[in-house]
Amino acid sequence: MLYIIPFYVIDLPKIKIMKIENTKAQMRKGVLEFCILSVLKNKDAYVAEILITLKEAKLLVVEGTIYPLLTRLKNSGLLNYRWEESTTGPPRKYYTLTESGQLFLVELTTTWNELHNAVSLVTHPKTTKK
Amino acid sequence: MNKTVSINLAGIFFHIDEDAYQNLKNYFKAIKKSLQNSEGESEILADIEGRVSELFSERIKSSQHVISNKEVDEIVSIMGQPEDYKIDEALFEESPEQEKSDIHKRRLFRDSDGAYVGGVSAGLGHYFGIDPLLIRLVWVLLIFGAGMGPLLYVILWILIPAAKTTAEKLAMMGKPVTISNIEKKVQEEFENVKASLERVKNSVNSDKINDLGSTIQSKSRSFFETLCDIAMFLFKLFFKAIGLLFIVVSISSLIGFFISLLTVGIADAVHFPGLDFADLVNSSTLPLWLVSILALLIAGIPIVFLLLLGLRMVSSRTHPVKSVYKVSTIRRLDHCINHTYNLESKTRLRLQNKCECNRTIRVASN
Repeated sequence: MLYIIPFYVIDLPKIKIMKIENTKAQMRKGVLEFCILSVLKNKDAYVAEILITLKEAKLLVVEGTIYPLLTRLKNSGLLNYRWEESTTGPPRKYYTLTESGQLFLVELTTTWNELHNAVSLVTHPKTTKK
Repeated sequence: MNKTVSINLAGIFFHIDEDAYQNLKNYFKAIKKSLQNSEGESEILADIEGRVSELFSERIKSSQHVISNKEVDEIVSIMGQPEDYKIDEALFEESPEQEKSDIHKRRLFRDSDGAYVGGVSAGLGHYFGIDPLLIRLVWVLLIFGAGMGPLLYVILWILIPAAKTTAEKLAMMGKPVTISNIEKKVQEEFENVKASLERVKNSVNSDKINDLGSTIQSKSRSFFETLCDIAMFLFKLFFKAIGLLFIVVSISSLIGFFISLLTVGIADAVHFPGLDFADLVNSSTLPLWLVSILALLIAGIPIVFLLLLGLRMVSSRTHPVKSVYKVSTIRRLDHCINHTYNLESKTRLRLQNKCECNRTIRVASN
């Protein structure tokens, strides 16, 4: 019976760590859609290009997350794609912003700016009040 | 030397090692599983395949180049674990989806890792999602109650298979069998082994038994394991004795049968006057040779089968060769673990040597 006690002690902090990881992932995934749309704002791109930009910004650790997101954005009419042949590999899917995607991006940008201000106000109250 | 497989990934042709192919296949399967019920599943999968194909083409130097496990591992580390593909809806729930273990998906196994006797209680605990301690208490109470407890326990012990492979252990805990889960589990087992090694080391070093519980557990387990082995041995002995009996009986009856048929045949051929026993017994109108053959078929075939059964029971080659390693990933993980083990023990040895050196130096300087 004695051996059970240490297990419970170990288990407790583990649960807390899991939650922190979840929150981090949620935060990152929340802004990911916004970032994908932003990448596509000025030019069309295929997945690898989008990935390079996002990875440079350290927004993505692994690539897997992006595919369901892209499909969802496409299915909700914010993105469109066309096929283009590639010399080195399989044909590439070039994504473009649709008109509703443009509008959506504008709206998201304002929301992001508001949020950014709000968060910096709350987290650094002294520096912003000056 | 390795067999290679040719595959078509998003319209591009690749040569790939057989075990690398298995890994890749399992990876895609796991992704498919974690994407289940999400919108546009097939399209997402096609996109992923396209990307993997692109990444492979980047890595291939010539058309003769064969993709090996190294490349597949690289791609998995770039693309991420199957859970990473899950869309955010699942993430916003309180607990991750895979932790929600469904009782219907669980399978009943004996848990030999958490066992005190045969692992029945630990297995039932996993199955019903309760502390095995409660189940053990019920067993103890049943001993005092009707005395049926131990008997029931032994029956369950025989009927419930032990969770041997990692996949079975995962099924026992109601977790889905995915590559990442298998990896996690193997890692866990490795940690357990490491911890027990540590414990042994500590107890040897300090001459104290730190955690009484685990020692009792391991001792009781080994006791009951030997008991089980003895019972199995006796059972096998009994089984083989019966087999031997079958062989003796069937051979002797076959010999007796042939001799009697021979006698009948001779009696029929020679025809002693006044001694027509064969015709006397043979009440049918059929000729005697046909009756003899029919009798041989009717009685002889079962006897031959009895002989075969006896031979089968006596010979020890009843079980096919067990294949412990089913997924090549597990094998590779095992390699890794062995490797780290060796490294660890080596460094430990080196450290010990160093300590001893220091000690001798100190003694010398004193």
